[in-house]
Amino acid sequence: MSQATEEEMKDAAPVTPEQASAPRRGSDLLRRLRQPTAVVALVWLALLVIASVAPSLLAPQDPLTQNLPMGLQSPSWEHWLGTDRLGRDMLSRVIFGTGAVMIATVTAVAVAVLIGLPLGLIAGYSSGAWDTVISRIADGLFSLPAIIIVLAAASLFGNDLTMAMSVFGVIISAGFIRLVRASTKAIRSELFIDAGRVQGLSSSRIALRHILPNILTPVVVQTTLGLGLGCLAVAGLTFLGLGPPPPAPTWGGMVTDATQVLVVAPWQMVPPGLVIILTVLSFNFLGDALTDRPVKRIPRRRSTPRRAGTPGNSRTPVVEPLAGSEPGPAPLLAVEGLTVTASGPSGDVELLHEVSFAVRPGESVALVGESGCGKSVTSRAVLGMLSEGAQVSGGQVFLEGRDVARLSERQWTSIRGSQIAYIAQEPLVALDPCFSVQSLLIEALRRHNKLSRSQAREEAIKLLARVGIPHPESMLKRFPHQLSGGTAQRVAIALALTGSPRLLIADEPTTALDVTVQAEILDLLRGLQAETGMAVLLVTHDFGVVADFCSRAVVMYAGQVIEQAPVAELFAAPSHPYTKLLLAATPHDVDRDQELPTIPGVVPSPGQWPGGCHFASRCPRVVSACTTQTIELATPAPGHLSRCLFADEEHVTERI
Amino acid sequence: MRRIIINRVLLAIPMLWVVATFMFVLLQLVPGDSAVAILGEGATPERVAALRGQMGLNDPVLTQYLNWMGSLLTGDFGKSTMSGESVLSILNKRAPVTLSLAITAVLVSFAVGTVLGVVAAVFGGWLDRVIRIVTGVGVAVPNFWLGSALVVVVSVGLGWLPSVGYVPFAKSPGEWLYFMILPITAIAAASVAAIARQARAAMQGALQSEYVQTLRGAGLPRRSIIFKHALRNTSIPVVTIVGWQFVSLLGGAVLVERVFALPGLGALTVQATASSDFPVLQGMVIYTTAMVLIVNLLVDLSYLWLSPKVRDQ
Repeated sequence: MSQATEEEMKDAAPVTPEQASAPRRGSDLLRRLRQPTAVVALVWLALLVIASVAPSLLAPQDPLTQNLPMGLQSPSWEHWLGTDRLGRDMLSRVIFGTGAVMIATVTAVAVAVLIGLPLGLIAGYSSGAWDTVISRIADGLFSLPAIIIVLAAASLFGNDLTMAMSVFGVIISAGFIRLVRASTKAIRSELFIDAGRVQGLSSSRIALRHILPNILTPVVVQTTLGLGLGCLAVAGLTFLGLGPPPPAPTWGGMVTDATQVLVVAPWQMVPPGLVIILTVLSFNFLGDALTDRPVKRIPRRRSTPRRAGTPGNSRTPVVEPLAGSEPGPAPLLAVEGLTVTASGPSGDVELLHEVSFAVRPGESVALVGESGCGKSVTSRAVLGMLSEGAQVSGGQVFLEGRDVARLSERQWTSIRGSQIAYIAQEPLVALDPCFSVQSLLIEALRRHNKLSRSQAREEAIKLLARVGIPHPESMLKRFPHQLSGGTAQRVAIALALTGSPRLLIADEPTTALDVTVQAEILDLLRGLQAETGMAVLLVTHDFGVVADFCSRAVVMYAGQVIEQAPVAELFAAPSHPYTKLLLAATPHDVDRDQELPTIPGVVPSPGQWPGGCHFASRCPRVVSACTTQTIELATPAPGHLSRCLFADEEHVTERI
Repeated sequence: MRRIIINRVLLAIPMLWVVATFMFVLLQLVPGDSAVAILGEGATPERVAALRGQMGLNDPVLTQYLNWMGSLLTGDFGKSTMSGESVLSILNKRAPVTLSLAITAVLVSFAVGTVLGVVAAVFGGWLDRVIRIVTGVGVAVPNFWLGSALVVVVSVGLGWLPSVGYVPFAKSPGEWLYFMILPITAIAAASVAAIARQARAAMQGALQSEYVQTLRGAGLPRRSIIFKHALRNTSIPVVTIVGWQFVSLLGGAVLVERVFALPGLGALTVQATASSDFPVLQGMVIYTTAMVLIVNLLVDLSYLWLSPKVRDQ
């Protein structure tokens, strides 16, 4: 008994706020119950309830009527599940055995809820001494050998199954305490509870009115797991001979009977075993259906399907897509007509539509836009790190002349780090928490360079000095959680530099940092660029960073490039209404008394892009032509592209 | 580091105290005379009186409690009402069977469960679906039933392995294993499933994490990312679960020892339950709780080794 489901109760115990608060309302619960597995589980459980309340309705025969000559029969028309040693109908015995199991199981879970819910609420709501004491109690209950204590209790209470299972309920209440405590803590920290407090509601009313409805789903899920667990426990106890004495049928007792005739009639094992397994599965399925966690995706080994273009071939990219931009050296990175689609439940959805831009050696290019515009998808595609389900479905990505858009993960491994590298937005979660700075750097350095361990260590120290870390040697032994955000970002940059990449993709590298640290990191990147000639593609939504750091900017909106220009030109003469509004919404040089303008509306999600201009629904100067035709990139000035029908006009008016 | 260990050991003491007290209270809650409960309704008044005297039931409750605690402190768990033997020596005699069973089962579940979970998370696709279905069913199969089914198929049907019998590990590890394969399989199956589910979820989380993206971006090979970095991070939640599984497996031993007629603590529990041998049951609960606490301590120590963050706290 106990076993796995017990662990699942515990597994379910630590709850993230998101998990605790996601599925909330009753209607949500009902919707989840309509899933096929949940329906099957519910039907089975409904049968069990009928079998418990009125077994004679379902059972074809009396469970106690013996018929010795007809003993140990296999299933037949007359006895669907065969007969036992004494010729009693197995189906009827299973049905009549249901009640005892159900009552004991439900008792155990009721006890667990009655103890776990209030204690969990108290612990979660009143942090401090109560929380400590109750948490300790829950920890203690988790260390108890449940089945042994239950047996001890059973022997004290004269083999009373229901009493014994109440003790079981006390022990598994630990799972409920932890769950309710975690959920309550999560919800308590939410704003509306604070609001309730300000309005002068008493603590207990807050707990009842606000918290209870919100922890309904996790508690229901935990209850289903507890029922499965309890059912296994009851089966085990009755297997040991607890509960209603023979000849009354019990599920576990039927297994005991079967073990005595194992050799001659192995079939006897099947009916009670199947009933126990199906019942536990039903409870677990119900719990799973109610939890309904989103399916997580992972990167995969295979290369993406090759739908368009000539894959993996080497050729010099056509410089033509840069039409209108300044002439210069051959681009380091040339993205040409890049289209990325994600396969979802309702078919394929475009995430990027024919994105083209280029980065020249040593150049700093910004990829700008609101969140949801596709800048991160673009950077991921350029790195060959699209999340599973998303794939390049059109266009090419040339990296130093080689089309890399559809390489396999293995091929990418030899490119990343040495030709192209990446630094992430949140430095504190971007470093593997289990490894020291030293081991991370040494591993990466030795991957890209032929170095001995001690040479690599020397290199690591030099690298840390290069990214501006004051006492590099003392830094080596540190672990990521011991670093400040700025230092962690420097270490992440050092890690990206281990293979001397020619292009660095920086995804909002300063967003998570303090303003002063932001400037330091940008200075560092600028210095490194001057030193190594490395190009940087900077993903950002912050025009301040763009102005400070980049020479050219690519503005994206809803999966498209909508404007592209040298930064000075873009600031002086933005030619797309979206860029203008973004610039206006940037909190620089704005009069303090004046309200910061915002762009009304939201970026349309992939799959909901309108036919014509993607920005039409939010654009102040939209006309009917904007929505009826595909808008092409116009060239309002040399080196300046704009996806607007009025690009020239906008350009000029702004200049005046 | 040493401070943490001492801290954990100190925390275990009140735990044991609470469990001992709980057992004492439980005995007080028994309706009627516990001497009668032990001896059965048919016992003569003389025998009941004698047992009451022996158990000190005529003393005030507080005295009884203090006496009980005092003898526990000196390692005296009392005497079995059935055999008159010292409870501690009975437990010490039985423990190796159960411990060797439970510890091997824990190690097997840890290894097999982690491999299954990681394979499911890394390869995905149909392999993931199969593993998910098998582990989903696995957690619902009662171990005593699985044990009996294994006897039917492997012992009776194929005649490969014995269904009863036991040789101590200390005597002959090979023979011990020969008799223990089926019990270990029966008891470990559900834990394998549970650990595989946890490992799968943890591995998926790790593979999606930002630090894995950083490592990919730095050009580290997939092998190192999965088996060095992601696996190390995955092992932390999995080890937590392994600690919990030990508690379950001790309970599972009670049932599975019965199926395979193994002379361990489980068989002793059932026997003591049937004969209302309270001193043995009380001793058993405290004894097994102590074992669980030791395993928890080991789990905590492995955190220290696995997670630099925990080391700092």
